[in-house]
Amino acid sequence: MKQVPVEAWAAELAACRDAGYDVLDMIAGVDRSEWIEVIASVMRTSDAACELVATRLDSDHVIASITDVYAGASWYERELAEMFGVRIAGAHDERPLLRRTDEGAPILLKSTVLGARVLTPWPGDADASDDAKANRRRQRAVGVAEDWLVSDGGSHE
Amino acid sequence: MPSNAHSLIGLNPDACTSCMICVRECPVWCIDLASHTHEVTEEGARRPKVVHVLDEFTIDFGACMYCGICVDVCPFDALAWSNETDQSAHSASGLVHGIDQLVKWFPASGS
Ligand code: SF4
Ligand code: SF4
Repeated sequence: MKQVPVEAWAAELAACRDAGYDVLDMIAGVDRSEWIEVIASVMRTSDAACELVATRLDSDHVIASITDVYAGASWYERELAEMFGVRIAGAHDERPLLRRTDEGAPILLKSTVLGARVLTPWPGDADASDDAKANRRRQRAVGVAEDWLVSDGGSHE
Repeated sequence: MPSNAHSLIGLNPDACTSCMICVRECPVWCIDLASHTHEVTEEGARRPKVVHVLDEFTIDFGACMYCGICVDVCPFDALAWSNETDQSAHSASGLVHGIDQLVKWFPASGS
């Protein structure tokens, strides 16, 4: 995996394209808590070689669009914008990808409370047996952060 | 179809111990299970032991994303990929299947 500073992002991917990596496989965002990592995977169809290019967004969550380098980048850039709140610099499609509007917090950031995860009763919460319920420690659903639950049980009613 | 393709999921209720592991690991919360306990005293045993009896087990295939985590985590091999491929329903609730249906999708041993 090639690690590049964010200023070199578009130039690095242009260099990949010039080196024969003709297909953009995907661009993914990862919330590393302190920073957001952005990883692009490119492929060369002639010999099936793959290359990963990664960069990190520390404070300003802004990255240059690579839609003029790779066709198909737009989908992933819209995803980065919508799910991670990353601003895409340069000409690109600004329509929300999956949500109807761009309102609300970016849902793949760890800091975003997912309302449905708090409000929906977790099937795993119901203990296998009613009589054993009192003895078991209450469990928290995977993907529900501790501070999302205001008080024990309060959000599950 | 490739042998490792992900299709419907079958349940063997006799192997299921109602341990809830699959219910808790499912990322989309689409498995639901209800059970009760009762005590059985085996011959020669000093104390009765508590066994879980499975009452209900449903998978909502409208929400299931066929990730296979439930199949992987079940310690008792009570869940398995079915050879059945297709299902449709007239409404979303028609995609929720309980024990009666899931047991039919559990692949016969050796298949
Ligand atoms: S395959 Fe995945 S989504 Fe479907 S029931 Fe199993 S764990 Fe849940
Ligand atoms: S993990 Fe297996 S044994 Fe446990 S409840 Fe699920 S199907 Fe049953």
